Parts: sequence; C-alpha cells; structure tokens
Amino acid sequence: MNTSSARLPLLILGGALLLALGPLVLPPFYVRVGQLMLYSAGLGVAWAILGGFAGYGSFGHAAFIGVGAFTAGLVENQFPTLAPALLLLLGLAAGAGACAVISALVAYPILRLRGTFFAIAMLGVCHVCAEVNNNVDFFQGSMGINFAPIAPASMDPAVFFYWLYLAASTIVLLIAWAIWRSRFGAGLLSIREDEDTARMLGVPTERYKRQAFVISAVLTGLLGVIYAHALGYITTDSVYRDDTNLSLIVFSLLGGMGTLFGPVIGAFLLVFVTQVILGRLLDFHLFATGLLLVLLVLMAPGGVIGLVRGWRLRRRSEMVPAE
Amino acid sequence: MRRRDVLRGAAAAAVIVPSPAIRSAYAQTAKTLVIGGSVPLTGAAAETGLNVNNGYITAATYLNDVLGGVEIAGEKYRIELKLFDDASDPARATTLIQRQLDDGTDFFLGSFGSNIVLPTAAITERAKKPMVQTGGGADAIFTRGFKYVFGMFPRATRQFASAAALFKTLKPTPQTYSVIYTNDAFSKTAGEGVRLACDAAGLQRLETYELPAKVTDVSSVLASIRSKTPDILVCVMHDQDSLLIARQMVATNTNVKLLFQGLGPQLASFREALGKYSDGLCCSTYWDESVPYKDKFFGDSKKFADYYRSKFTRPIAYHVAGAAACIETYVMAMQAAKSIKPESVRDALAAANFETFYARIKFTPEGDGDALLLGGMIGQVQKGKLETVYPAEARSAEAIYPTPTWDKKA
Repeated sequence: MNTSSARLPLLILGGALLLALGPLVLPPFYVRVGQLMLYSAGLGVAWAILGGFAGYGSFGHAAFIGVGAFTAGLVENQFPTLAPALLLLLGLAAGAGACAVISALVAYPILRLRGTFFAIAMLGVCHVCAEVNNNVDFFQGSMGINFAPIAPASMDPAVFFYWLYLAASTIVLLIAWAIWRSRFGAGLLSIREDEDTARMLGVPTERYKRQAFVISAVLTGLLGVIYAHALGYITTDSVYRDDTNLSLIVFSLLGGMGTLFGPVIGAFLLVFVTQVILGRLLDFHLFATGLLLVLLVLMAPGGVIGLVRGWRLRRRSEMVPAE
Repeated sequence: MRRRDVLRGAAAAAVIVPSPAIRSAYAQTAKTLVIGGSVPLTGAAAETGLNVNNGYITAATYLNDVLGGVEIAGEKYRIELKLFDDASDPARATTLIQRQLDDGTDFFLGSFGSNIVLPTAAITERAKKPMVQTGGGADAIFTRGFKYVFGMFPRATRQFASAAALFKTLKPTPQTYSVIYTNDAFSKTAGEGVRLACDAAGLQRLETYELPAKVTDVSSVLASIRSKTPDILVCVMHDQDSLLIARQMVATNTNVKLLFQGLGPQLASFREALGKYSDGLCCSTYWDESVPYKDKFFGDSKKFADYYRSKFTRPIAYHVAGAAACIETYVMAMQAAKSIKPESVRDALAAANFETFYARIKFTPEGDGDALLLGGMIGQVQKGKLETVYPAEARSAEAIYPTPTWDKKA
C-alpha cells in the first residue's frame, strides 16, 4: 500500500489493535520487550519527522525526553492528591508545553545550521540541558524525582504501560502520516532533497523546519513523560542519555531513512536483537550489537525498506518480457 | 542423503543425546540455587558496577569451589549466579529482570545506582521475590512500602548518622559545623544526610557551601570559613576534590577543630599526597580489610581480601565487600529460615542480625541498612595510619579532638 494512501490510518489502527492483544498472550518478559519496542518506535517516528522527512538529523533528541520527563515530574508533584489519570494528563500537558517552548526558542538559532553542524549542535543542546538539570537544585536532576504510581491497582503496571506506549506511538505514527501526505510534508521532503532550491521555488523552508522541529520535540517529550512514569524514579542519567541519541538515528538507518515505517521497523528490530537475542550475553553484547549494525548498514544501506524495495524492483524487471 | 544433512544431524545428536546424562549426574552432586540480577558492566555506572560484579562472583566462587557449596535445611546447594549487563540503562535492566522472573529465578541481587535499582526493585517486589542490593541508597527505594527489598547501606539521608554519633561523644563537645558538597548526585545526597544527622545531633549549622561538580578553586569558601569558623568542617565529595580542599586549607592556614572528609583519607594515595598534614583527618570507612568482624564463611575480612586478590587484579573496594556480603546474607537468611522459599527467606532477611566480614547485617523495617551497624565506621588518620575510632566495638584508637592546627603538623 502506498504510504500516502488515505486507507493507511486504518491499517495503522488495525495493526495497533492486533498489538494491543499482545499482553493477553505474551509472557511478561515479552510484554516488557514490547514496551521498549513501542516506546522506541514512537521516539524513532518523532525523530524522523525532523531527521527523516526534513533531513535534519538530530544527535540530541534525548534532550526533549529529559525536558518532558522532568517538567512532568515537577508539576505532578505539586498536586499529590490528584487522581492518577488527571495526574498523567497534567504531566503530559506540562511536558509537552515545556518541550514546545524550549524547542521553539532553540529552533531559531540552531536551524540556521545544516548537516553535521546541526547534528553536533543538538548534541550540545542535550548536554547543556542535562547539565542544567543536574546542577540547578530546582530541577532535582542529581537527587532524582519520584513519580506517583498511575497504573490501576487491579492491573499489572507492565501491561498498563504497554498499552499506554502503544496508544502514544500509534498517535505519533498517525501524526507523522498526516504530515507525510500534507503540503507541509511535501515541503519538508523538498527541504531534505535541496533546501536552497525549495526556498527558491517558494517553499517557506524556515517556517516548515521550525514547525517540524517543535512537533518532533513535543512528541518526543510526551513519550518521555510516559517513560518516566514507567520507571517511577528518574535522575538526569535516566533520561539524558547519549545512547538514546544514537539509537534514534540507528532506528531510521536500520528501517529506512526518510520513510514513515522505517523507524518502526528499525526500533522493533534493534530492541529485539539487543534485548532478546543478545540480552543474555554478559561481556560482549555491545560488541555483537555494533558488529551486527555495521553488517546491516553495509549490506542494506537503505535499511530494511530499501532492501525490500530493491528486491521488488529486481523482481519487476525480471517479469518484463525481453524484446 | 547429502553430506551436509549428515553433518547437521550429527551436530544435533551431539547436543541432544548427552544432555539428560549430564543433567542427571549433576543432580546427584548438589542442588543449584539460582540468584539473578543485572549489573552495569558498561555505560556510566560501569566503574563501580565492575566492583559490585566482582564482589558477587568472589562470594559465589568461594562458597562453591572452596567450601563445596552451602548447606541449607540439610541439603547441599551450589550457587549459580545469573548476572547480565544492564549497560547502566534502567529500561534494559527492567527487561532483564523480568526475563529472569519468567525463567523462574526466585532471588535477586541489585544493580548499581538508585535510578536502576528502584525500577527493578518495583518488579521483584510485585513478584514477591527478595532483592538484596548494595547499589541503591536513595530514600525513594525505602519509602515506598517495599517488603522484599533490602539494602546493605542506610538510606542516603541516614548515612551520616554514625559520624554524627561520634561527634556527640567528643570532648569538649563540638557546637557548630559547616558542610561543603559538590553538585552531583552522590555528594548532594550525602550533604543532605550530613545536615539531617548533625542538626538532629544538636549541632548548630553555620554555613552550607555548594560547589560546582568540578572543583578547581575553593579560596573564597575558605575565606568565608576563616571569618565564620565552625568546630567541625564536613566535606562530602569525591577524593580528588577532598584533596584540593585539604591542600588549600593548608596553604591558607584555614584551621578547624576537626576536618571530616567523606572520601579521601581512607585511601593510602591520599594520605601520601598530603603527608603529615593528613594526620587528624576523619572519614567514613564502610569497609576496610582491617575491620575486626568474624565471618562464618571467609573467616575474616583479611581472608576475604586475600581470596579476592587471588581471583581479580582490580583493586579491592568497599563495594566489592558489600556485594559479597549480599550473597552471604542470602545464604545465612536461608539457613535461618531452613528454606529456600522466597517468602520464608524474606522474613529471615527482615529479622537478620548476622555477623559477616563486612559488618553486622541488620535491616530497618523499611529494608535499608541499620544506620549505625551498616552506616559505616569512622576512621581517623593518626601517625599516617587510618585508625577506626567509631563505633566502639570496631575501635582501634581513641579519636583525637581537637586536632592540631596545620602549622603544628608541619
């Protein structure tokens, strides 16, 4: 099915409904792996709105996980008597708001940079946020911040957060799809292909980039809020993580850079490999992960989607009768 | 049949056929007691994570290879550790712990870092499986009503209780104190603990100084201390920062009656760097191979340290001892419970009052270590040697107070 097809949301919702059955049939370990897959997929798609669609690959998106998570924690702790559902909504609103404001402020100067300069500058933004979070008492980054339990008492928290991640990631994917098939999405793709030409042709490149940046940051922040709740207690080190920054890029690389479903496939694949296949290795799991990634990128530079597309093209050309 | 198929079949047979025989021979020798957990062998917490991992391995290897296993309720058990690298990532740690729970593991050891220990402890708690850990001291771990989580340290805000108890015994009784800490998780939490313990002990706090995470110059802080001099100055920070403060105090002749440095004086390199100026400095010593506790497995701390050195080249640290004590504590709790049922072992852990080479193990009702028994001993450098001055049962020398001024040490 074409990615721009209007029937795609139905397919996404159908897939989500199928995945929602997971906790009913899977053992608890796989429910937790599923949580990580869905969380990673959501983050990967949120990152791809800027990095994949517009070609502005960020090395520092974990900044928004941290900003979202800590803002939610600080705000929620002011209302300890609030009902769990309201508490979560409040946290999501606060986290999203903080990410929107910070990303809008950062967007102006940082989006003047391109390519590796932008990527490294974003890494700097992430580290600055982490340092501020750690060093300013108000944010409680070094001491850590607690989150009240929000899962219903009758439900296994692992299942509750699985469904929460699933809902959030589905929404992120639907938003990404809506962007993909819109005029705005076409503008982002034109920026990725040739920003100067796009601007010359009348695409409001600066505005589009800023909007993509803020949307990407807000969605990342929302997932950060859920992640913090799932952990229950976070410090700066829990959320401002360089390995997360790198993983977000790897998801798109593995699945297919600049595609809608590439980050989802990449996230599912990487989490499965690192958690299920290599999880039992004590000493060399990171080496094995690195080796596997290098092999995959060398053998499939267009990611899994690129591999499938190449295979389909070859098959089609074989089916054309020779003259 | 093709050659490849023959080889494939032979390989499969080689794997499958001997397995039942091996299992049955193994079952006749000793039962296996599986203890699971994750440790950060890579990532931000790896430095201490390696110490924790080595401690776990040291205890299990000694109990299995030297003692031939442990006897619990008349049965001989070999300890099998199932430890995995959580890469300092709390999310990865939770999936690893869940997998072990699914595999039927009943007992868990902790990772290092409260941000990893707490999410994993929440999972084992829900499954009603005990976790004994030496890597998480945050108050949050012990204030959530968990019943199955036990820590080898007091919670962070109680870790200065034994030092405050020592201050109360000094003559003449100190009246005032100031505290310096750096802006990182360890130091800040410790600083909060100092304030709580010293305020509770009735000492008057003159100033609290918060330094940046990387300290380069403390001259302005020392100027403030000279103008408003406390009886006791407490510095809770990493050893290199403690050294900088001590050196600048010597250089500026900033004197207090007692300088307490949380980390630093317990290291021989620190004492050598300061030379005779290190005399009189006090510090916390959670464990040292000279502590006088007796141990039913290793004998004493010295023998534990010797055995560790025969297995590892990495220098021994108190986290190694704490981790090894986690396994000893499990075994003694199982022996006391005469059972390896998680609920019975949990109850025995809650009632623990065991002497180990590490310390006397006793937990509070909330699961953290007893503030005095597991809160660390207090050492003081006397004639270049670190002497234990508190608690009384571990004392090797009387505390010197007030300590001589820097110019008298010169």
